[in-house]
Amino acid sequence: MTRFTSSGNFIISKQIPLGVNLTELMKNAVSPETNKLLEQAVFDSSRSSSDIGVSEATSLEDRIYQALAGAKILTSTFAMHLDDDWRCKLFSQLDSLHDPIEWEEGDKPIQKESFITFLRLWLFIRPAKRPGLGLSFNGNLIAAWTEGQNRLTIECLPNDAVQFVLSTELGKRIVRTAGDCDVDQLLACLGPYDPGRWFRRG
Amino acid sequence: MATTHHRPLYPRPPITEAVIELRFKSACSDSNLVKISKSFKKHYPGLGKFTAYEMLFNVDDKGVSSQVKDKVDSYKLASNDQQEIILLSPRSIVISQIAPYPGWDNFFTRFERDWGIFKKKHKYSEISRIGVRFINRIDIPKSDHATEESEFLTIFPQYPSEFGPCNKYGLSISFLINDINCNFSLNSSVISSPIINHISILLDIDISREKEVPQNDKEIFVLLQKIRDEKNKMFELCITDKSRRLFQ
Repeated sequence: MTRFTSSGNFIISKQIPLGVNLTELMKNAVSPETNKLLEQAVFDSSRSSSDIGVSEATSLEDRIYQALAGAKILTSTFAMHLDDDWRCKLFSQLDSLHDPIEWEEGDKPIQKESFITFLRLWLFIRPAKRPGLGLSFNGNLIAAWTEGQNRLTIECLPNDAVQFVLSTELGKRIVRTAGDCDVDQLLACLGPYDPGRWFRRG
Repeated sequence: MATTHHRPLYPRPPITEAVIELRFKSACSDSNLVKISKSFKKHYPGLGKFTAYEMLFNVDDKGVSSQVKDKVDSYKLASNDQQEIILLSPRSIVISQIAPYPGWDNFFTRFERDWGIFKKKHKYSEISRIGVRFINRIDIPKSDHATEESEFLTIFPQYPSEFGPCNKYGLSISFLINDINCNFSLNSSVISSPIINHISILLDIDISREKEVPQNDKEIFVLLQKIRDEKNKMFELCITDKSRRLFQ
């Protein structure tokens, strides 16, 4: 019998032949979550906050808090590549979007997968101008840049997908167009409309 | 105590999480843990409860079976920006800082403050382990040619060149650091990068003492400073100048 706790105590009370990698032996027999615990126990590392998840929230306020907290923790994954000042403003915008007093029943707080796409988009484009942020009814993050009559709105969907809508002055006409693509295709899709007007500092 | 003031070594350190953990021989009661968690409210307004599981594994000729034996209520407290975190369990306290890492002086000062708050409510229990863990992720921009680990790390797996570039690897090293009587363990692997057009390598360093563990503050703080110095030394030994340039 092998016994361990999530804090890393590891006791083997049944003899296992030398050379058998216990982690390998058990890897296929237990769930991914258990594997994580097992790895931690075998290496007996100090516990990291990413090793644990908190219990599922039940109240609306808790659900909003957890989604917001999750977004901020996700940001830390990218933090070494982000400007500190912008990160603080991003958090302030996220706080404002998740104000429980303003919250309407049925709205969804920010969705983790959408926020990952947003952060990846941000680091891929590295815009000098900061967008206004909003949330769609289903919790997708929306980023909007406005420069005079020229507007660009991007909804971040899961798995690096984005939907964009733009209106821009071409000659005397205002042209409107929309499309969807992956983050790494966005600049090519926006190419004909001079995307620098939204992303470059004026 | 007087500490040596260290400036952060890099403007953009690759540290995704820094952790100081103290473990205790005996468990504190759930009611005491609740009291302790409340005493941190001022600094960590966000509170979440999580459950740690004690599991039993049975390994025999028929395979492996597992069952959950006990569950232990624990608490995760976080600052508003979620960067400063405390995990409270009946047998441990974890002070964690997630990226961006503000430097050791800042992190250690927070540890001293929180350890002081913790001790006021926590009934004395012998400390059984002191550990410091730094999880680093080195994000390397993809280039036209295959990235060689040796360009960025001094520690990587060796395999026949006929294999070609590898997509994934994982390695684990542990040994005793005699000078400070601490266990050193390092786990390194290639992971999928959160950044587009990058590859990422994890360097997860943990240094801990489980024998002759100091019990008074002065000795605990001295040990932590020594561990920190060793951690920096080991990290620098594991990376190349090309890596260092990525953190500027």
